[in-house]
Amino acid sequence: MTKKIKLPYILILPTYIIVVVLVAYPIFDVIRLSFTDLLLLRPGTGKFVGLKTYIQTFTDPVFPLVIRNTILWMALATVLSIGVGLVVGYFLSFDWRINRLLRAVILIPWILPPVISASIWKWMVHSDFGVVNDMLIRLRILTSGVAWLGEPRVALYVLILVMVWKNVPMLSILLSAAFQGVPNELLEAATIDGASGWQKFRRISLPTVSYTLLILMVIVSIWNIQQFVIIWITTRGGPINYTHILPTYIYEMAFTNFRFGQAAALSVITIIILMGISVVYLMLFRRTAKKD
Amino acid sequence: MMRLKTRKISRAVIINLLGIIILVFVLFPIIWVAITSLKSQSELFAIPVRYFPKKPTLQSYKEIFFKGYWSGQALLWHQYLLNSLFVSGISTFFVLLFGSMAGYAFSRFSFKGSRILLTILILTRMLPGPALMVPIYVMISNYGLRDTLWGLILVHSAFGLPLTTWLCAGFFKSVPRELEEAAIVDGCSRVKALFRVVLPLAFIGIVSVGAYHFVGSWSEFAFASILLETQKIRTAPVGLGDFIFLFGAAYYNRVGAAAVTMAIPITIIFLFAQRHFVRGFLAGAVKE
Repeated sequence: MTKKIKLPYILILPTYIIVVVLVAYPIFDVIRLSFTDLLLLRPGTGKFVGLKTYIQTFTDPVFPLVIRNTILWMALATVLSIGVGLVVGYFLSFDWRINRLLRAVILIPWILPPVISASIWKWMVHSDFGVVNDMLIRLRILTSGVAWLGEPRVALYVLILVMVWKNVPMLSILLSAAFQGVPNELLEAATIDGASGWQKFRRISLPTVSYTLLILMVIVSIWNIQQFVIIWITTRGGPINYTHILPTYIYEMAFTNFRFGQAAALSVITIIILMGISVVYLMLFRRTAKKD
Repeated sequence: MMRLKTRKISRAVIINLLGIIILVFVLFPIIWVAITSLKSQSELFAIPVRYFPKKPTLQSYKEIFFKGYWSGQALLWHQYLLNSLFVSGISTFFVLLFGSMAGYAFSRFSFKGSRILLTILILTRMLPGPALMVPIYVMISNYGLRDTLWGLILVHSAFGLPLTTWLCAGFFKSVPRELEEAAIVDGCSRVKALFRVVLPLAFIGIVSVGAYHFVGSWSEFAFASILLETQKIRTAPVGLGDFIFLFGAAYYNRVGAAAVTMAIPITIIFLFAQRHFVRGFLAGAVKE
């Protein structure tokens, strides 16, 4: 009898040891570290300094810019990815011959490591030899090349488009599956009643996938904030901090400036923001669940 | 009648045109990096940009592998790929072993606290990895595992285990319990039933979970870049990141060659396991 109770615990033990030690414990440790002046791992540093790191963070002239960029990055990359994903997903949900080809290859950008995506796009938007400028000049949209990643006002938006390119494949596959779940009888009935294609999309298909859309919003915004590699590899937060988001700023603070204490404070702020977003989403879920 | 026919044809044209636009949007950047990797130095900087290299060459592939040097630094691309293979391979082994053990426990036993334990495990997936870089760096250093591949393997396994456990539990659940019980009634021990009945039926699912983790580990940049210091033990994503800054625009064909060689193994894995990837992703993300 006792053997039967013990077995499942023995089976889950290794997983929990690894996850608790390497993922759960660091959450508490990062809070502790954020109240210290730890500088890399230098002995003598790491003393308790109270709220000093937080005061430094909130008086840091770069910090408001980082927060603005983070909000822009999360909001725009999420909304644009889902918007484009919705259109492409609707297209893919039909049984056309070209869609068989599309479905077979569309996920490749999604599967590629972010470092590779970053390396591809960094070269494509190069000011002198980039193919994007070349195309725009051939189409007479531009007269001379633009340094897409060198312009403080433009760079972040260019990187957001790279994110959209990376996110759209998976989103369109997921949404096309959701669109295919729309009952056919409903669409046929609407056709008989004389509904146009747009009306069918707006009144029948879109409401059916709205729940999937909401869930995808959560997932994509979490993807986006984790995906800092594309920024780090292409611009390192530059020009003059105009593409720094919280994760890249943490990375720079910790592993370029070695100010671990302050990087920990930034990490805690990031975790709190993400938890806030999750709570908002949870409340949204509850409300839509009640409506149904 | 004629009108209907022309309308039908123009509809087909529009659909195919839209499809081709999507196809170009998705694939052009990938094709472009392959083309870039085949360009010689002079064609790399041709203006206007040359879309089809006149003399495609494998020169840049030769330069990054084996005995290539660049400003006094050895280019160890083959070494980076081997390191990545080691890290991804071993961590995939760990997550499959421990994850399927835990997944089996969650799917076959209802024990005290099982629901809460599983929920906690799933919640850890919501944590932002970048926010844990500092404490994990400190911890791995304290254990003396910094600058070793084993430290990185441990981190990759820890971040991969929650999803692996969750997906494995799902696959085990899909094997009817009656089959297993029938085997036990017929005189199999529980372990024997596991190996003879349950594992073979859940096999494809478990392999696809492994492939999914392998690809994730193969791609991981952040922790690899902070935990590995010695050049010889760096993984491919870190190496590629180095190349981009080392070569800059001057030798972007080499960066392209590195990107292509790094993408090939996971693209092959992916093309084989594509359907399972989407299903696995759905199970991990959308359910619950």
